[in-house]
Amino acid sequence: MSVLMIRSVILYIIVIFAVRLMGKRQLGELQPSELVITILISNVATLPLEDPDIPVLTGVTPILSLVCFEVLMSWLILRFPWLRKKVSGSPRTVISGGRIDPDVMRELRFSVDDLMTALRSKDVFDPGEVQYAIVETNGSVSVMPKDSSSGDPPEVVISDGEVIPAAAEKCGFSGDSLRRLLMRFSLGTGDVFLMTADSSGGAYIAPRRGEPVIIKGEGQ
Amino acid sequence: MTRIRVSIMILCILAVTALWSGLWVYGRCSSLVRGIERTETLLYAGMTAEAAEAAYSLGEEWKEIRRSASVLVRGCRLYDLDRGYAGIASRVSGDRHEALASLEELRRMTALLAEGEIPRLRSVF
Repeated sequence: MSVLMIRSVILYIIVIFAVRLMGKRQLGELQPSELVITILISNVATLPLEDPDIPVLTGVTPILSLVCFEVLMSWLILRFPWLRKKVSGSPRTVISGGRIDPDVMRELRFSVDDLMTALRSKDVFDPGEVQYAIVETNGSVSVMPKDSSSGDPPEVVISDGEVIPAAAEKCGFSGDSLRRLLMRFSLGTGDVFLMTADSSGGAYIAPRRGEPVIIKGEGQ
Repeated sequence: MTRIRVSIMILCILAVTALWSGLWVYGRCSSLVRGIERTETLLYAGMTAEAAEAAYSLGEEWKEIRRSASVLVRGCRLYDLDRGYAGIASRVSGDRHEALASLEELRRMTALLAEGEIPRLRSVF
């Protein structure tokens, strides 16, 4: 009994350390890889607790390995946007201008009930009132009501110094026009941590250092 | 960045520990297998007293390995070997055929334990 108690304390400390090592991101909404790690850790941690035959060291090794891999993976995801897309997926628009996209719903295996539940949780009871509903990579649904804005939701055009060509094109930027816009503020693409823009010409530019720039679009 | 550094450090420690533990178990088990083969040779040569002495040393060596092995290897993989090495000296002193069969079985189990700790494709899958 006492051995089990000591083992429990050791594993408790290690699991707490592991969760802390993963960071605060873990404690909020879970990304797919984080969900997998959380399930695996909770299963692996019980093995040396239930079976005194298993040395604590062999129980601790997979826990720490999994958490370290997750931390390294999250760092790689931050560094390489293409990897982020592969591992976490990308947000999908299920309602655009009050029109539900059944193809996206089918692709996400999202039922009408799921959608209605998500909308109701955002205090929206009529899909016709929704300008945009976007299923985020963690499975939550972001809703933009029709009356809050007449335009499209802003797109991320530059993320951590990397231009996202599809989003830039959607917001009406060519390579040159984007460079010219940034030059007005003495910035290169590499100096920008985050830039969002919408089709009305509005933009938000957060440089790596210094104050953010807010550009008002037409009708804003 | 601190988390990345801590993670890399932990992974390095785990990798070194895993490598060291694998090599340690493999090395000690290989030494046991060599001891078993020596005992078998002595038995085949009809030197029963010397074989019993060698078997006694094997039992002592196993006891010493067992103390540290329980930290690195699952208990269920050690229990059969515990039974095998317990009283090996008296078995070697008895019936020659039975003793050779026991040694053969012990050699196989010890080699299996050693192989299980080395990351070969067969051990991993």
